[in-house]
Amino acid sequence: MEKHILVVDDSPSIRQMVEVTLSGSKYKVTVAPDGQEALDLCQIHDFDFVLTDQNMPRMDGLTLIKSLRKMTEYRQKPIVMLTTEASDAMKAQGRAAGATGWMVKPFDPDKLVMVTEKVLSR
Amino acid sequence: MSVDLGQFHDVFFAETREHIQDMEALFVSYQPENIELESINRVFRAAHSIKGGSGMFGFSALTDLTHLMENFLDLVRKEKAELTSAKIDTLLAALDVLSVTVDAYENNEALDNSVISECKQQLSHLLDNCEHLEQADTDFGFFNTDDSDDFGFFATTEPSTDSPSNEPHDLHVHVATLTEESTNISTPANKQAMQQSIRVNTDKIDNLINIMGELVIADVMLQQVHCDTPKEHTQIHRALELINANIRDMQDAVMSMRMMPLSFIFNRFPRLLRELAKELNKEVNLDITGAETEIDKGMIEQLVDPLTHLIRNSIDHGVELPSTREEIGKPRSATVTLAAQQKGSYIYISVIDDGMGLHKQKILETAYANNLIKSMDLSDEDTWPLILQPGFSTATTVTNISGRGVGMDVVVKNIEALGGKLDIISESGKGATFTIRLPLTMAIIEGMKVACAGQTYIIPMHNIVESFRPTKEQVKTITDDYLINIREQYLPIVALHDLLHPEAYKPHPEESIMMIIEVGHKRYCLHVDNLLGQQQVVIKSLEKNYKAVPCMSGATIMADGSVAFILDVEQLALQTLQRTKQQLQHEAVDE
Repeated sequence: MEKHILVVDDSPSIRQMVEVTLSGSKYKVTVAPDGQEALDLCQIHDFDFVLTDQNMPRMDGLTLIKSLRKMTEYRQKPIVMLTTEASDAMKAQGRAAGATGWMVKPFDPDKLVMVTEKVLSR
Repeated sequence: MSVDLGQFHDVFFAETREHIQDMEALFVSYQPENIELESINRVFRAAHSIKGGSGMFGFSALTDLTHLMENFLDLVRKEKAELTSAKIDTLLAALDVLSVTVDAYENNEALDNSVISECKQQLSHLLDNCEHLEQADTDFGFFNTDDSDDFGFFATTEPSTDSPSNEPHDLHVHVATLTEESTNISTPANKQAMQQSIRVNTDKIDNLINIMGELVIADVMLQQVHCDTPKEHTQIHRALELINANIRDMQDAVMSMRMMPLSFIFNRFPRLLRELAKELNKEVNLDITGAETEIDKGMIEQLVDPLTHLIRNSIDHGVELPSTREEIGKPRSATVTLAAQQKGSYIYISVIDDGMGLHKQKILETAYANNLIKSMDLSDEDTWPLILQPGFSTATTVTNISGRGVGMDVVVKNIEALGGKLDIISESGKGATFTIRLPLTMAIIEGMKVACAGQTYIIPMHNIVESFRPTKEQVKTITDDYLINIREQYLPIVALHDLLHPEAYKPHPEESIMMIIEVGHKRYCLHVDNLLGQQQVVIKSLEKNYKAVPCMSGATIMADGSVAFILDVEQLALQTLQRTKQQLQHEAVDE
């Protein structure tokens, strides 16, 4: 069955780029502009993979991840954090919040597809 | 598989411009004594977003600039750097460079590298001053996290799935600040949730508006059928009424899609005002009301120049120096109000100042010296429009601000191009009000149908002052030209027949209808056969569908399916004037 991915980013251009890239790779993609809307969507849909930005209005990525990890359906689901800085502090925060992994921005479409495949085949 | 990143550029440019505008508004309204963490967070996020996007799409100059801004703003929001007025100036200047750079990328133009690197230097300078501070503060912050208070707060918000970490201290600091942020962010959340939107290409909306226009025309035809259908066909009548009501609603809905709030342009004025006041050593507050008033997207950009000019004028000529204001018992700080509201099918935008008002005597003297008036004995209402005449300026010294070689006449011209009008009210010592009146939309206008030589023409309602049938006594002849005497004022008569149907029979003025037409502040009388009634007309471009026709600003389709021209009343006046001049020259040669 085709995998359903939730992409969370406040930037419309990045959202669109990720959506177009992943849809083109036979994934079903849903997008959200911030953590709060993402959280709402997660209550209705059963996503296979959540890819979220960190800095967003209303609810940031770390808060989203922490909230998702409290939900039974999302306790084990892969969640990858998009971040502009891959500092140790950032990684520690992500890990503490419960993220599966991180990906540094900027990235190109090919890398995005590669990371997605890797995450989903785990 | 490869995805063409170019397809996302337009969206990126649009969102970047929004971020820049947002940042500018926040910087301009920023008050050091009243810091709102959420504002700083917003500018930080804006810079961060531009950085992220530009990195993704390879616009490295934007990445570099926003990276520096982001670093500095990060320090500010962590209260490790102070945002002073001078620093805001640097950031505002950087926003200008960002804007220009976005434009250059979008238009595939060469980047101005010297400006960019200069700006980068300025921004790094901001950081140089603080980096030191940050170091000291981080150390201090480390100690702070060992406080039991901080730890308790952290523990309650920590999710149960906390995994062991090598850097517990560091972790505490960051997560604590982040939770603090998210509580702060939650306040405007409701506001944002209310306004969900999607981006739609304007071409699609314009296409929809065109189809809507056709539908309105079809509706007018249907209503004709409605009138002609015998009463007993109740079902047909019901259906036609329903269609009519729905089409009108749909028209409003479709039109509203092209509408944008005036805040879109109002937002740039606080900055202009700040800079002008600084330059002129004046103290001015800007009050904005009605920024949520919506206006056609096509008009909004055209309003920037006229409004900028009016605001410059108010601050330069209207507002007094703080010391002068104190002497005459006014508060040191002047107030300039930018107010907008919708009344009926018009939008009113006013620039109001509480300065000294227009100098009547000076205006009259200048007008008299320039032969604009014959007598100095004029009422206030007749005096103010004089400053709108080409080449009029009473300023004794040409300042850098208003004296840019653009007079008020250009402002009036811009406003009229939008189908609008400019009104002035002034009270000596108390201030002046400049009000722009604009039609709600340019695609559909209220028009008056008139008949001339068996043809139907449309005249935009906003140009018509009044219509009447003249008496014999009111009509005067000078050589071959007719003049009309209306309330002791003589207006030239422009006969539509002469211009459009020279071969047709032209009835005497007293057998036909005179319409007083106002263009700018000039009036003339238009001579037509008859009035046929008022109607909403959908403007169709002649250039697009046929070719440009002199004296016609467009065409429309009438209820019976026939085409009627919409008259360009300004060109009509000019044409007549030229013709009269030529005639006079001919006559002079003949003599």
